[in-house]
Amino acid sequence: MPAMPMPATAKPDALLSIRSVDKHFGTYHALRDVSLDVAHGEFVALLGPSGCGKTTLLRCIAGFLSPDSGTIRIGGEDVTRLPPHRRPLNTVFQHYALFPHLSILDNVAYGPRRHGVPRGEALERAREALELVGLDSAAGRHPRELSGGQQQRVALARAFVNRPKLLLLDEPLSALDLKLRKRMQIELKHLQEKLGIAFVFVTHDQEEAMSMANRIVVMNRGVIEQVGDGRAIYTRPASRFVADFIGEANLLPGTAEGDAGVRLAVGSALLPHLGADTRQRYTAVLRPEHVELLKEPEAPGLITDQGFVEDVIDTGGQTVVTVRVGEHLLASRRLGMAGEGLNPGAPVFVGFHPGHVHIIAEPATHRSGP
Amino acid sequence: MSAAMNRALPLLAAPVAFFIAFFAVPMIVVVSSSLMAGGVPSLGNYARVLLDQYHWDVLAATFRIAGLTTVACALLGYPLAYYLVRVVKSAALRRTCVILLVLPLFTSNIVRSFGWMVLLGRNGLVNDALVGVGILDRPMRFLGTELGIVIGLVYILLPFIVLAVGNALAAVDPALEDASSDLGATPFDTFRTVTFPLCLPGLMSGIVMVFTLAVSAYVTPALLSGGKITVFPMLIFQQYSTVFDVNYGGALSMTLLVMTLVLVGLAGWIGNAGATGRKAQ
Amino acid sequence: MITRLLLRVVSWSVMAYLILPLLVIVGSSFTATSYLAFPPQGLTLAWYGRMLGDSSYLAAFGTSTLLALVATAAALLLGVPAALAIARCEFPGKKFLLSLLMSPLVLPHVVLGAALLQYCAALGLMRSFTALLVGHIVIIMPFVLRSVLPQLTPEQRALEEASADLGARPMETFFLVTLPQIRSGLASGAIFAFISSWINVELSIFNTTAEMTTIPVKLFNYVQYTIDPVIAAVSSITIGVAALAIIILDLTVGLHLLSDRR
Repeated sequence: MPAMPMPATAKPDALLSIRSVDKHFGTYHALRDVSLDVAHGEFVALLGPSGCGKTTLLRCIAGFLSPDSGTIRIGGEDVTRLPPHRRPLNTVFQHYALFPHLSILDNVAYGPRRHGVPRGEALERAREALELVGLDSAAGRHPRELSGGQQQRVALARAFVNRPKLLLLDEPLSALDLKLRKRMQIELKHLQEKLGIAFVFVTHDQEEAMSMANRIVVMNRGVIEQVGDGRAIYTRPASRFVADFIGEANLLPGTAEGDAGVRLAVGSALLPHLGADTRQRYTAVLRPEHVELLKEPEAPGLITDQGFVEDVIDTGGQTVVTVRVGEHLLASRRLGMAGEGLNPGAPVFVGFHPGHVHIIAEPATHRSGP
Repeated sequence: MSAAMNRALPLLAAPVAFFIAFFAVPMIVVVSSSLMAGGVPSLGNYARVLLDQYHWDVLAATFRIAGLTTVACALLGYPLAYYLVRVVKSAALRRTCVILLVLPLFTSNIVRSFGWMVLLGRNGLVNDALVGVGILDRPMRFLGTELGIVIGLVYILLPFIVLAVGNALAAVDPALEDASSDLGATPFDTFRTVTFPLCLPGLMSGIVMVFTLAVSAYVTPALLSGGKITVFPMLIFQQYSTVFDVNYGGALSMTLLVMTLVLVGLAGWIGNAGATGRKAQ
Repeated sequence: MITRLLLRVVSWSVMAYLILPLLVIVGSSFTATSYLAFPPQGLTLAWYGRMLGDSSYLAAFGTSTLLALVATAAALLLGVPAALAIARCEFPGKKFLLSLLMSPLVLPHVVLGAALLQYCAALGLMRSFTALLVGHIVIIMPFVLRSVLPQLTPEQRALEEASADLGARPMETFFLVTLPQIRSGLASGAIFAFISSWINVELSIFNTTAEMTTIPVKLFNYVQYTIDPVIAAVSSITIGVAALAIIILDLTVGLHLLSDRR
């Protein structure tokens, strides 16, 4: 289990505080002892492959699911057993869930009306919210007359019109095409900053998470694998799973040699690692952009080894060369057309800086994997 | 177009010819007979139907019975549909209930009405129970009353409304109800503002279907009326089976048909007007 | 909470209301008394024996079954090509044609029965098996169309094009690709069609005679005069056939009513 620095008690200033939440569906263990804090105004992404528990966690926060054990607090108040309509948060649903029988304006005014706001004022607020997402002109239309991107904005307006402290977004951009998705990512980020509402954003798209969130929560098999900003998660993944899921990674096995450190399978270099323990499994994470291709067997400051070109993929802007070193495959990513003269089978030298190697220690029995 | 026609024609020739020969032409024969009296064209048959107070009384009884049946079906069917679709969690239980709902639909009206003849008799189970519990002092007469016919018709038509409403309910995206409660609506508010409006087309088409079938029902009223109450389809049957006056009978048939078609048209209109509310994906 | 409880009570009462009459009929068919009694007093199969000894019942069962089988076969032979044409071809008046073919669903059967009586009398077919048969085909064809049409989707069309592309002749494509794909629609359409014919009274009653009659019509005529356990036994048989049809339907294509996936 990766180290999970998590305070046992809620931070006093946390807006959302989740403690030891467990959830089963029949025999399926969907959430295992999940704890998480979200601060006011923060943008947190729940990232993971499908079935990792991110949507289950979101639905527990919203109140559509009830955890088997654990507590969920919002603004210090225990809401674990509160029905959704009494929780001070709102949700943007994956397929928007706009009411097909109501106009756009009535959809957005729905929330304020349920909170007892008089009709006139509710419509006024709805208009303002629609203006904020640039859709005030569509107020009288019905959801299905709108494009996917427009429906997305309506769903957003409908969710923040109640001025919640916390907004939950369940893969809100997944139904949009790539270009629109990129644009909406920027708009969403700006809107979040403007409104000052904390966002908890579920996604399986790491690029989306990286570009929008202050903090990323990587989940796998119902467990939080790592919490941190995009940079930390990329450069210092806490587990093999995170290393593999976020970006591309060369995962090389290492052998513990006590206090001496960890011996790498490639280049047979000894990397310093305090208290390396033979009961642990060590994996070295090496990003392809840090693997250099050399003409000489030695290079100052680099760990080097010899191999043979396995494969060259040239995508125009960059080239990925896969090199076989012994029994291991090592990918190297170079900018530009770096593949020239490198034909499969050709001998080549690889080199990398020891500072770019990140070592992960996991119990040998850990079953976490891609 | 002509290529499509060339492909469609061989497929359509037999069914269309059959429907013209045994459906369209017979109906045209009825219409033309209804417009003939004593061998000459005449509207006399329709005058006979529409100017006779007796027919209006029969029509009123027919519509009263159909109306009561429809209201009762809606009031009993809606909760059952909601219960089966939204409350029952066990798929096996729901499946059993669906089978029990369809079983009556697969059984002849006559068999089902016959069951009520037994149950509603002076010494039937219903009277025994009502007297036994103390609701009634002595057995009540059901057979030969409009109430008896309504009980029988509600029984026969109830599954239609349960299935219509139930299928509409099952098609409502649960995310819409989640969204409603997420926005602060209480469960009752969610039902009132989201679930009910979205199922309304299903309910309305069920209602129109039940009303249409109730107006044109013959077997159940015939068995449960005990000869004391006449509904409109009985008049038609009498004209063709005993009196054999095809001109007058034709006018009666057309009167019933036109009323039915107006209702079906209404159903189609409501169905189109309320075509919203399917899954919003 | 109270609403929930009320909902439960109403729902189960309504379910009981739906089942009770059928239970009464089946139960009282076993009574040892000479009049209908429910709960049955004593237990006997005598009434079933009496029914089997009465050749008129057997004849009526025979007529009903033959009628339903032939009508279903004919409805499939006419309905499937019509469905194919409607789903696959564009031609003027398509909507009207579909409404025409579906209209027997909502037309009062008494009116259609009367029309066929008058028409068949003019053709010299009055009160014949043929007169019964054509009427039944007309009223059950909508069930075939309603079950088959939704299965003739554009995706299904692509499979047929693939088959043609691979060199299959139209008939080969129909039997090797189309038919296997619409099997479940055919099965449920056929079962609904069969049952609708098997239980019909309102249409049949015009064209039956004392000698040539169907089971529901015979029951109808009988029940108006006498009620005895033989009637309950005959009715129970028809309930059994209905239950069998539903079980076959559920096991072959599944009753996807009241559930989301349809």
